[in-house]
Amino acid sequence: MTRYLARRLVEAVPLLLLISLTVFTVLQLLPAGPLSIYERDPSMSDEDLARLRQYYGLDDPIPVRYLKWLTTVLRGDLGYSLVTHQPVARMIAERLPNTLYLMSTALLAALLIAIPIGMVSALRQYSKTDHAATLFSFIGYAVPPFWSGLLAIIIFAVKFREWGLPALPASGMRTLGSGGGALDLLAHLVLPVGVLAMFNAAHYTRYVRASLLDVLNQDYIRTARSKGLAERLVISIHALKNAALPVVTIITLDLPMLFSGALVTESIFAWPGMGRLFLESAFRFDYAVLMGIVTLTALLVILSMLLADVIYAWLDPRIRYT
Amino acid sequence: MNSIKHLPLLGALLGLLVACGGTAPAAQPSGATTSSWASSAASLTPKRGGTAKVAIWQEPAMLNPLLNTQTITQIVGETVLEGLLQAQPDGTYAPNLATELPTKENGGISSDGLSITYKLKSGVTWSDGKPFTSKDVAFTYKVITNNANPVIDRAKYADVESVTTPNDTTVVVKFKKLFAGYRENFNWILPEHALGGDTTIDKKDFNRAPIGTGPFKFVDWKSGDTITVTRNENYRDKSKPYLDGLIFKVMPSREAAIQAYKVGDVDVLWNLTEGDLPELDKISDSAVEAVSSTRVERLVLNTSCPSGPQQGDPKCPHPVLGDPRVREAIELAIDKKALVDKLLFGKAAVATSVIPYGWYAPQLQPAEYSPEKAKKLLDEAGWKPGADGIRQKNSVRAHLTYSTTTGDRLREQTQQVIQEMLKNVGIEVEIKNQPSPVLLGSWAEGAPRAKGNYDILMYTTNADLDPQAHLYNYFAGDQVPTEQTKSGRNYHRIVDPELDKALNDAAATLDESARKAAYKVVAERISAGRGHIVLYNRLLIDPHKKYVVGPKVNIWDNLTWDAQNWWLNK
Repeated sequence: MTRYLARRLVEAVPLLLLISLTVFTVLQLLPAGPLSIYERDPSMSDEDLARLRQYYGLDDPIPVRYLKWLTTVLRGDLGYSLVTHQPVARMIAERLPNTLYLMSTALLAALLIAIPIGMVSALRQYSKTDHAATLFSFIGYAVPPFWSGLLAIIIFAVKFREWGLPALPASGMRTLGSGGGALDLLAHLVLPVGVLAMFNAAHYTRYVRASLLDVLNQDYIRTARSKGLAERLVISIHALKNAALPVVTIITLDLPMLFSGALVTESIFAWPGMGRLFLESAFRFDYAVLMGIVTLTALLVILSMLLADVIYAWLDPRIRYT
Repeated sequence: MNSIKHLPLLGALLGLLVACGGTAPAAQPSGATTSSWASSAASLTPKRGGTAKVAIWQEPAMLNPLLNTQTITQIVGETVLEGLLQAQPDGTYAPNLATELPTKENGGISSDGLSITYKLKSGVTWSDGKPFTSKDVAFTYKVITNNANPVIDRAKYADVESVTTPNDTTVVVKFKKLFAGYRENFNWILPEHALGGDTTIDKKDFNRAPIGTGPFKFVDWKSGDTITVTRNENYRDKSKPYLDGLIFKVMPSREAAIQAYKVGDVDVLWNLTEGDLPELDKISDSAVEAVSSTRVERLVLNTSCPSGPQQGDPKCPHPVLGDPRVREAIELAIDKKALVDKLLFGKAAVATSVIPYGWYAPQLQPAEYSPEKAKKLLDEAGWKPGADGIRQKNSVRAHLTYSTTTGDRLREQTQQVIQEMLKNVGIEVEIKNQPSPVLLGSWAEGAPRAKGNYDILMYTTNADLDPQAHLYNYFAGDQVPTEQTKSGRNYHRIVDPELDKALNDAAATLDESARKAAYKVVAERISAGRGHIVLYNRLLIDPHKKYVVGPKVNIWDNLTWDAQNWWLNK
């Protein structure tokens, strides 16, 4: 197992290099760069622009610039944004906790919704409950967060206020001008988490249902039942553990989202997270920040795949890696 | 949850945001109107205390306006940082950190006009209590001229020979040659002590957490969320600011900002568009002042070849627009009044010149609207209607592309109306819009505007309170963009020696009346050349709740220019 882990980690290095090189090159191929904001300003002269390009090394060929970037990153420094004039690591560090609050709560909520519904759906296949759950899944999956988000804002923030009901905050993480506090944060989490959880619960439900159904049709379940084991025990001891395998894999593979955040939902609810940082940086051609986020996300994806494999082996003793 | 799942949406959002980011360089607020509630509230005695919350739908990249061109950087930055002079709502300059405007009479301007002496207010301190002196002005000049700093607007200092400080309250700026726009200089003064005397400020934390002489003092910046400034206890006017502080709330979009304003999460909104007016009118406790701004929406007509080896060369005339009579017919065919009435709720002004306001603004007559005259003119010029009603001359069809930035509803509506109006006189236009960064990008980016690869463009731009730099850059004959003059902005590519002469005359004197006369000639030549056909003045809309008393619109400065006078009446 140790050897296997070591091999996977070593294999990850060229993969990461390839990803970063590709993204770096593609970004440089865009017709605009971090100085675009200055290039479009009539108050910047050609000489000033040329001076800055040279000062920041933007005229160097792409391979030279990539190597510069790589050596900086290998020293543990994510580089420097030419747009905000501050270290990329600091920019990410400012946003990361906010995204973690949002995404971990949303993941937890999605699982709390999806697991029971998926189980009931599978155990009562083709019942009314199952059909209702299926309908819920399809609606949840078909309604994009940008729409459900706006709908939630209109109903719970705007209309509730008009009707004199306790309205929920629709933007940001804390009430402006107040000290904040845990309760305030929780109130601000309700709507964005609700929207994200709906969306994710919808497809997690399908996985739980499908996976449990698959297991329930296996011979060993029939054996367990025929030896007279109580149905409750059949489900909890034999079925659930085996059904958990693919579900755990899917969830593990989704873990990098805790870092990368939710682009659309964060934008709608003015949540100051990583998704919005990525979007804003893309709009201002802030390559350093984009590279930082993409590289870290790629690293996390690779690590989470590895983690999924490890968990798989731990849950299913039949699987052995060498 | 997974950002990849949302990628298709990114395209749509991109379009939206690009439209918001827009072309307009500086959205500048205005003092042309004051509504009745404001004048009645003005008689009340201002109350101290409270915090005003301002929604901004763009996050500044930093808070040092010397290094960043974003309007939003200025809006937040100018609550903290100040300059020697400040533009007033009526289009004049007033002293800010200086005690008076330098003139020949008070000895502030030398007889040859090459030396400007500023007297500084004494007893002014930075928000940390350290004294503000002439040394800080000299230090700021060194920062500006330091090649390692990405300073914008450096061209304004190109003719400065030296900045000297005979004593703590006197600054003498010597010029190598006459610079009529000197009053636009030194609009942001930096503290020497807070930057440790180091003039390389590119990577300083100061850019994010500035220290200034202004009414407010920087407190904190929660990335993507809020920027908070609080009352500067060391401000020179002890009775001000009235507010305890300001919170700038970063919203992801204008729509979200309006929602937050509607439900009362914020008190002040920044930079809305004409299309938002009907929705704003529904908010009962909101004071909306829609003021005609300096930003003039215009058609820019390419008079040079739009393609081929001589693309963008003024010597190669455009097959259709190269004929001045066609350009005149286009202006005659457009009913500007109808555009304003139908699309801008009658609230904007029909534009008459590219420089509508300011001390130099000439009074020009609105262009005539007469489709009949337009048709007659085209007939005379040899453009005869073909079978489908579209005119032709020597088998060239009067077919033009008409481009503007994508995602701007007002512009798209304007396009459709103008398309109809031009069709009426036999000119066919094909709408071909592109995102703002693509259409209006730089020479290096190969943007159609810079390269001359277009027929008609529509966008907004504006001149500053000193119009010389803008007018020269956009209209002088040597500013046609080429490999040598990449940053030239004579995109319509008309070379007019008379216009060039008037521009040079305006720059050759500090005498305001002589400069005003020269700018009248400039404006008339631009109107006659019709490289730019002005349509309407865009509205400036910065609404605030009625209980926020004091904000006065200043089209020459930004929303927060007078934040020290704001107070809460609740």
